[in-house]
Amino acid sequence: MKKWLILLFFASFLIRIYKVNSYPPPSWDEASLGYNAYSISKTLKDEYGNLLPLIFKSFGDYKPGLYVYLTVPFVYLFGLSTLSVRLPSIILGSLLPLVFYFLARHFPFKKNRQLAFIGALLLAFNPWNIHFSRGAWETNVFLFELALASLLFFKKRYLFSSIIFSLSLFTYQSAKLISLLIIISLCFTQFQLFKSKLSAFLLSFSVPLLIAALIILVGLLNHDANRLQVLSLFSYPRSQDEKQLIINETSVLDYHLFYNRFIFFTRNFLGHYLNYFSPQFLFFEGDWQNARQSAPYIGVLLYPSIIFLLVGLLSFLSFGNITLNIFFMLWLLLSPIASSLTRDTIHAVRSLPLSLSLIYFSALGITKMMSLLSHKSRIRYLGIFIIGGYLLSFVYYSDLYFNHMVKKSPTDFLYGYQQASRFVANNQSSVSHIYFSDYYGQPYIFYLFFNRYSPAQYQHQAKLLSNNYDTGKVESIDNIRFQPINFSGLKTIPHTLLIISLEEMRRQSLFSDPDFKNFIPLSPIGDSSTFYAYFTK
Amino acid sequence: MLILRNKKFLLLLILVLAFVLRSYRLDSYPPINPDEAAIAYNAYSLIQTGKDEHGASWPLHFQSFGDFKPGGYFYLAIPFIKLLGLNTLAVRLPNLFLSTSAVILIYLLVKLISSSSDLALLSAFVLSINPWHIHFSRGAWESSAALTFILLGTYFFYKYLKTAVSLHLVLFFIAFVLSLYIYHSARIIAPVLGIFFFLSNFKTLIHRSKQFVFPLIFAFLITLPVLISFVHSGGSARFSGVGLLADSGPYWRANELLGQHSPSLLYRVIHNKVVLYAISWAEKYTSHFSGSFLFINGDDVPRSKVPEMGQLYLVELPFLLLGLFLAFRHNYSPIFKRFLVFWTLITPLASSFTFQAPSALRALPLSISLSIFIAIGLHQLLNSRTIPSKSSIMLLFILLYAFNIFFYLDSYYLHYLKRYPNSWSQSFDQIIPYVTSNSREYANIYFTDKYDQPYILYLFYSHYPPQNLQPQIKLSPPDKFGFSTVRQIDNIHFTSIDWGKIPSNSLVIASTENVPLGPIKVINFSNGEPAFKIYKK
Repeated sequence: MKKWLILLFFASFLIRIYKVNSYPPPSWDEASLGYNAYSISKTLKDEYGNLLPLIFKSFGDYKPGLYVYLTVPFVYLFGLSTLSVRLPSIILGSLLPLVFYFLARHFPFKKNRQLAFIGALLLAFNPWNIHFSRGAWETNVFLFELALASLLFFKKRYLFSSIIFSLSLFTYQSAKLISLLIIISLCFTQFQLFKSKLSAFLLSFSVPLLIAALIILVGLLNHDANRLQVLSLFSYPRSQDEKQLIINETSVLDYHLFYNRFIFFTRNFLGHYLNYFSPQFLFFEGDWQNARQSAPYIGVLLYPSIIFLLVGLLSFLSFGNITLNIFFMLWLLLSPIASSLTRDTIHAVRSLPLSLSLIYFSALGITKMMSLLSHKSRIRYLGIFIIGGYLLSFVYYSDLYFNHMVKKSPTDFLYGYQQASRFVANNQSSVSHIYFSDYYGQPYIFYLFFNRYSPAQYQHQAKLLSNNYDTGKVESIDNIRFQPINFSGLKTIPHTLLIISLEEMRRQSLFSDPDFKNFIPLSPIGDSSTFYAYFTK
Repeated sequence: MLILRNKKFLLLLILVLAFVLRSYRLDSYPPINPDEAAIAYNAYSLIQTGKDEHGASWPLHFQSFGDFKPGGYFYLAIPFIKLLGLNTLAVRLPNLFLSTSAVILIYLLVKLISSSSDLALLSAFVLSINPWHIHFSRGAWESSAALTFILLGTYFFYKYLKTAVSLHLVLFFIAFVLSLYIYHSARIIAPVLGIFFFLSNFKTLIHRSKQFVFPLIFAFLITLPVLISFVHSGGSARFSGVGLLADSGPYWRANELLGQHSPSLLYRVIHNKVVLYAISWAEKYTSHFSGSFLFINGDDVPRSKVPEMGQLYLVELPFLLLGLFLAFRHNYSPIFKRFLVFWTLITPLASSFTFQAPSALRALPLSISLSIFIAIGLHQLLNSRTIPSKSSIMLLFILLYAFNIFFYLDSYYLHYLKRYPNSWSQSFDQIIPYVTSNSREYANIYFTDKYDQPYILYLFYSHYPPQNLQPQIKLSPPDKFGFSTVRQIDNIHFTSIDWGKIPSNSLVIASTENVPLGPIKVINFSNGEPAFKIYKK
């Protein structure tokens, strides 16, 4: 078995690292995490010159800092690159199947070995987990911590479990709620075990957590409230028009009885919550709100799991180890709550922890199906059928992921920032001004990231212009200004380089401009380019 | 209180409740829609002339709007229209009686196969207040009428399984075959259900194979007419209009995906149209089980839904889940479990093969097994002796249930038609009398075709003599969904309103089309928006 596990780790690692230095292109957050790690490794300060912060200001979204510190050694060893930012997530994502294996093995059950191995195998090849392991996604590290902390808890290593849970609070924003819910589930399922030694348990488990919670609380009071309000479901009540429509149809009383805020928010919350369990999300479309968060035209699990997940869920009371089943059922029901409380109808990032429980029940379903058929030959046929089905789905998924995902929506994936940033750096000294489009958001961080701009030099000119909702922006570095490009206005400035986005080209109808032949496509993909460069006379 | 323990009395109470919920204001709310009007008028035409509106005598499929409606419901409506005249209530009464009988049938069926009369009563109660079933009980919905026959057949099948009396077998066949005469979707659901009934009880039935010879031949003989008529009336044409292939999404998706590759055989295989249509089918099929459809938003078609409601009550969600988990664990008979599984899996089939899914209308039979699952969940709560503070939990759920029901009634009776004014043919009951009383004063009348099939509502509300209609009726060429309409009756033209092309001395019944002068009269929808604007030219 040990050999198999090592093999499985390497398989996961290969899937997750293949072409990852260039595919998919890094997002704003990845560039920011990477550059801050780079800045720490060079100067011990973040991009704004704060000494070793726990929470990074970044775009004004105040990122929990653990991921940056995980990245520091890789940036130090391999230099600043897309790969080195992603390595922590890749490695932990490849270890997750092993943690799952030991978690499932821990509980006595006749077939727990089979169950644990099937689950680990599914995790290694699961689209949802692959997607977020192939990028510097804090949520992926968070999921790893949740699994590891649960395993340690079950192994009665309460202190270590508590430390990992504490770290999770510095890993990902949603952790504050999800970790708490998982801790409650753990205590609920294990209560019998530590009831007698309650004070010892409390001491080793609660103390580190309380300290961490306090630190987080201070951070929360300082920065988080604003962003929380932007994201919260409760900041988006029924529109005034809609309210008036209902009142006009009946009366104010009717509105207050049946359509009031409480009912409206309950219905929205439950709608979001149920979306995480819809076949549409799980198997057919994935995150339909944001193209960057899943491959197109396919869900976050592989097709054969439709059947096995159902079988596994329906047999949760009658098959397998009941404690583990209840723990994962609680995990299943509780983990989407945090993401359902946000404005988004679906969000594959915030709900990633759900994947572990879905995989568990799929594996339980497969184990159950195999145990139903007692004949050896039949098991062989079923095995071939299952493996074949999963393999075909995986091939299909890989094609959609590698060949279609970025091509289908290049601008969502911020394709072209690398080329545009390098182009700017190469021509910076030969022009007097550069105007870099901020249409796709936060161009400054890509410029810093891809050109490994000296942190010491940046820190004293870093200035984030904040707006009242969501993230702020940086307006200039040296002779570069980051702003919307108005071509007819800017082309009159002499000795200037303009970096224009595809959308601005379209909106200002520059494709039919007499000057069009002088635009240089910087990042061609499909039949267009996401960035164009233009030198003024 | 003793009387409440009497099961027969309780069943009677439930039936009264079911009947009241299905019959209240049925004569006018909602106003008759074109499909119902077509049934009513064709039945009327048969009574008067022995021929349908198009001059066909006693057909099995009615040509109607070129969609060749199955004839069963038309014949069911004849006695009511003969007795009560051509009006809305008369055409709806057959379904009112049939759908109320469905509540008795679910009681008998569940009692028969689960041997628990408590569960049977609860199932009857859940179905009696089920918004999905109520919605399609209120109107001349063939889907609901066919469902009752399928339920009747199912009851006789299980009766036969128990008693081995051939008569029950014959009655099973008759009921199932009758459903084929009533509704298109039943032609997929009833045979597949029947086959699975036999297969799942194969071991019992194989010993009775001799009993099958006569009933099978008999069933074949009574199916033959509808089979022949279906083929002759271009039944396949109808399917190409609404079938899976009518959705061109997967076709374009295949082209898009192929276009992103350099040509190769592998990609031709995995981006084959067959593959994409198969995936699309699976998505449609599973969409019937999504939380959004069942509990939050319901069907997309305004005629099949009420505002801000799913197909079931939200309070039923925990009971449905509980029922699903317990149904397979509890010591119910394997026959009952198999019935529930097959019924749940088979009933969305017909709907999944159409371009529009999920469809509450076509998948209506699904409401039966879901009601039983909910009843199993409720049964568990009522019977449980281990739940702490059970009475207060029960009180809470009773209050929540009551609130949900009132919410539904409020939405149905007070908001529905105002929110979706076009969903049912509102205000035709006012405009048609106006047209008939003024038609002689004008050389021509131009009537907008913005609302569905205005000609049939004209025929219905004016009690137009069928013998005058049959010689002059002429169907337009079919639209892309395969529907035709009638453009002219006497001097009334049902067309799009193009003011410039209308000759003088005309009465013009427009909707919101652009007309250069003011209307002489306006008829409003119930929400106060104009439905019809009447002009003179």
